[in-house]
Amino acid sequence: MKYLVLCLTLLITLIFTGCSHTTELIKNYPPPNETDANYSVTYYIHADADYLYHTPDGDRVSGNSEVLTTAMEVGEAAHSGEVFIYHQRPEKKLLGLFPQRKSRLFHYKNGQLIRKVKYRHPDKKEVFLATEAQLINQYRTRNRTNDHQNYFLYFGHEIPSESDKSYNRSLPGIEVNVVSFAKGIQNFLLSDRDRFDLVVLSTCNNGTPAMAKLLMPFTDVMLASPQNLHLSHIDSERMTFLEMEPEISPLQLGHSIAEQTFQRLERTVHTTITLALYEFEKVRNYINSLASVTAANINTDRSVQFNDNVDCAELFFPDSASYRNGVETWYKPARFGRKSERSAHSGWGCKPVLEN
Amino acid sequence: MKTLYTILASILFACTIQTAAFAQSADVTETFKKHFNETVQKVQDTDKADEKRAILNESFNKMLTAIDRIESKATLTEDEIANLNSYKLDLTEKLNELNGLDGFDEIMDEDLDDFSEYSQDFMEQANRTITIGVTTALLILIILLLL
Repeated sequence: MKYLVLCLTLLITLIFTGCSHTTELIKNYPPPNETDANYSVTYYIHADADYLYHTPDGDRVSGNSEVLTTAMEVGEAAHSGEVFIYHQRPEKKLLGLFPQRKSRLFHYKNGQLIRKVKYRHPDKKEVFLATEAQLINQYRTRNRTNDHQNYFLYFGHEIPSESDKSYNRSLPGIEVNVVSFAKGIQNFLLSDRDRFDLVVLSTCNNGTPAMAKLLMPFTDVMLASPQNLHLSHIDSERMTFLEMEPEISPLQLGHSIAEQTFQRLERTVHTTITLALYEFEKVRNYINSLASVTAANINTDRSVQFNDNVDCAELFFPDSASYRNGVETWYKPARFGRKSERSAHSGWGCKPVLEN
Repeated sequence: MKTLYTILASILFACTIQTAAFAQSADVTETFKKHFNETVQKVQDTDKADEKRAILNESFNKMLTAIDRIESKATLTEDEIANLNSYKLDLTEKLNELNGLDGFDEIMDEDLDDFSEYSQDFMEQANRTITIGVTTALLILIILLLL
């Protein structure tokens, strides 16, 4: 009888602990020398898929763990800012029944880790980034300086133009595509008038007219890769420049991040390297025309989304410089392959036109 | 006592089901990456160009055969088929380039190490992951094929 009571107690405890989708592990606020936040940095580190890669020494890295380490260093250095780091990990159930909170939110304020939250997604078909947006709106400080800046950094696989159920291995019901992504990160802003000073997309193939057009209404500068990007991702250590050089502009910061990343990749990978920094104030003047031109010949065959991008200029504007204003590119062709002789890139990525 | 055994058996059964369900979705790309990393190590461990070339040829052919097995034995969605086809095309391109076929110049002996690293870099890009529903038996077959 007492064993039955013990088992039932254990079962009820497991049920109740599984009900809430968040748990705070660390609660240490307000920090001792709290000041208004000069800037907010949000990292979204996707880990619910295969992110295994090997360093030049042959060591294995998985789950975007190195990105997380760097993000935490940025958080610890953010003495005048606020940093949110989401590490979205595969969701599992204990004994196949009790949902576990495997994802983590690390909240830094004035260089201190003030909150560590375990969370899961209570609605397996929720809007992309809904839970994460809810958390930031719950925990963020309202005490900001007048010239407060917003930065968003996304690390993951290519965000597809059409929903791909395999994007989140354990959450196939969440629709992930460029539209849901743009709507999702907009919910991280404090108000409709708030904007991102810089959005960094550390993914393959998202330096595209479509993505630029979607982010432009609420973003000033975007750093992305028009084609493939190695899984070692874009380096983000230069985010610490927000402390060392407070007057740095988002464009200068984006340039510095791209420069550091390009120099590392140039030394370590043999595949194509393309990075592009988009200044939307200038791109705005022609984005509708560019989006229209590049959408004109879109192949309706869904299989094309599994192909890598090519330079849009190859397909749509080979001799024109019209669509390069406001775009700074870093490019190195692959060491091997059919395009190893190319020397430049427009900064815009397009899916190839498949031959019938 | 009987009730306790019943509860424990139910929990064990739930664990087994959960384990089996998890194994139904196999990450094929991770398996290929691990295999190819071993290929790169073997290529770099030998000084003989013909051995390097043979190792690379065998590795690409094994992965292509594994994809053929998956396509013939697993129940795949349209997207999974398209994703695998794209991956297969990429591997075929690497094989052709290695051997100087389909308009490529053959990779020179002194470039074989770099070509193996290039091929690995290509697989470790942030554009795709292939997670498909395969049985544990098929996953084991794939892994054995790659050994």
